[in-house]
Amino acid sequence: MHEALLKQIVLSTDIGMIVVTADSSVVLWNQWIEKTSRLTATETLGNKLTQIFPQLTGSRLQQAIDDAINNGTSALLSSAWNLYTLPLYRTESEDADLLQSLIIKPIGVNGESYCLIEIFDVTNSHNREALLREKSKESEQALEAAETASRTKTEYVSTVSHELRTPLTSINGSLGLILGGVVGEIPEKARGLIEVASSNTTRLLSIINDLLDIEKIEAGKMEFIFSQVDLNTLCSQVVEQNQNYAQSHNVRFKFLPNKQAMLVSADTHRISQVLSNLLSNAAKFSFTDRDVLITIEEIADNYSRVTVTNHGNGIPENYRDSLFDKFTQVEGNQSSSKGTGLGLNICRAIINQHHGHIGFNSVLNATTSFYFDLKLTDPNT
Amino acid sequence: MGSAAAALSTMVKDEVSISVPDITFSSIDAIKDNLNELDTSNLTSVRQGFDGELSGDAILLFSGDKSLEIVRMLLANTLGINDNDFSDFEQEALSEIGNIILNAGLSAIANTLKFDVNSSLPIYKQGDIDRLVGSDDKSQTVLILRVDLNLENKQIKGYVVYLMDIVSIDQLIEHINRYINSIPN
Repeated sequence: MHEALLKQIVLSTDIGMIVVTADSSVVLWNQWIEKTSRLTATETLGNKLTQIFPQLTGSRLQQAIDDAINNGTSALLSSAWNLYTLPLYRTESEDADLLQSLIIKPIGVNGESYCLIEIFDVTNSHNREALLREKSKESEQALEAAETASRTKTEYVSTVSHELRTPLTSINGSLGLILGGVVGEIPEKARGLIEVASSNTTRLLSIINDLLDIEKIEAGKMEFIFSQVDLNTLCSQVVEQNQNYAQSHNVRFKFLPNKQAMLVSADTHRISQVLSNLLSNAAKFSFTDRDVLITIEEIADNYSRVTVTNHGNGIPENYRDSLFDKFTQVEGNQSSSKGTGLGLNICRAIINQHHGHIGFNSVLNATTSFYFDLKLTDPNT
Repeated sequence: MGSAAAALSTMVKDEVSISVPDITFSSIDAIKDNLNELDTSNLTSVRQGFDGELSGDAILLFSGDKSLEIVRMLLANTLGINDNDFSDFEQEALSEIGNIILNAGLSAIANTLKFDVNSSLPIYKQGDIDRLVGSDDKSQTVLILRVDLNLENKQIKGYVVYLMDIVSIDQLIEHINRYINSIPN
């Protein structure tokens, strides 16, 4: 390449270039540095850099130049540490300081040592970075505000639920006593109305208990008391307790225990809650006059599986991925009583706490099986 | 390392001291055994090539989690930026710190042993030891300097590894021997 062309490229390039000799005299001062320093090449060539910029005396830049010439080392003066190494100004503004990064390199030509100083304007990238940092802070603050609002709402729901539960329990108990004949014979017309009131307060209590459970799960405050349990016994009891519910939906729970003891480490109350939930769903979503089958089997890796199978419409494809999410409810079921859409989410949280697995298989207009797996324990431990 | 410590002290406007308590020769194969102060699966490195009478690469290594601590310790004194911002600066700031330390080492070798060495600019990289100091020749000899960086009563341990070809290593050892012999008894 022609020497004049090379010189023109160096002089007109859009980065700053200064070349100094071994005694620090300036031999190259390109157009970019002329514009940003407000000093022409004529004013600077032949002068020492510290004469042009006295503040550089004893600076890192001067040390880096000396090291480059004497020791052959290249240096980086990054903008992380040195924002304004040289007193340079942005071209579009008289008084806006130019943020810079510098590279200092040794150059040898015909046995002579020189030092090349390349100067990069990093003002825009710094400004962008500052803007991004500001935006990031704003996002963090917005997230914090949203989390606080969510916490407040959760606490509000929790408080209201607690306040509702006490009087509702009292009403439900009283209605139960009236229906049980404690206050004497009830006229037939009144009995029907009281039964409606009783079943609806039971449902309300169940919704409130679900809301309180979800709050406990999300706050990590749901407590578990683990003990060794035989799933045959536990399932038998839960099935028996829910037989009336099955009858109210014109189905029958049919439990087939395993011949072997199926010992697991579990919280009896919470696993009963899971099974009750699966049983009530199976009854609600079953064709009438059909059996709902409950089985226990040993599966791979020393796990037990409790399965609840019904015959019904099955779970539509579009609900399958979100079935265990909060507030998911399958529409168009035969049941008139809708829940909160929290039951399966609670079941999954409980089974997860047992290091187990919950899932389902469903064939439309045929059978649907919900199951949960728990690790079997050694009977001798 | 005195000049490096002085440069870092000026940058952070506080006293920084750097000591080199240990120098070892090792094969690449056994390098992990000689970097026992570091988690070699997660490292931060600053690498500079050098050529001249000696040629190779100088690599400064810190534990990945410690590199953030170094930047935090040093930059907090100068810029007062908060924790979340450090990662943005980490690469650039560490490259410059590495550049100062590596240049000090190379200058010391060049001046003491009367070598001419030219160094390149620093390159920042993260990864495990094989990625950062890998070589096809497992028997290749490397020179390892342990570096202790002290600031505000805290000590960060790092290593400088000099990766050179066999000719350069032989030349270095020969010059070291010549230097030792030239010291009057």
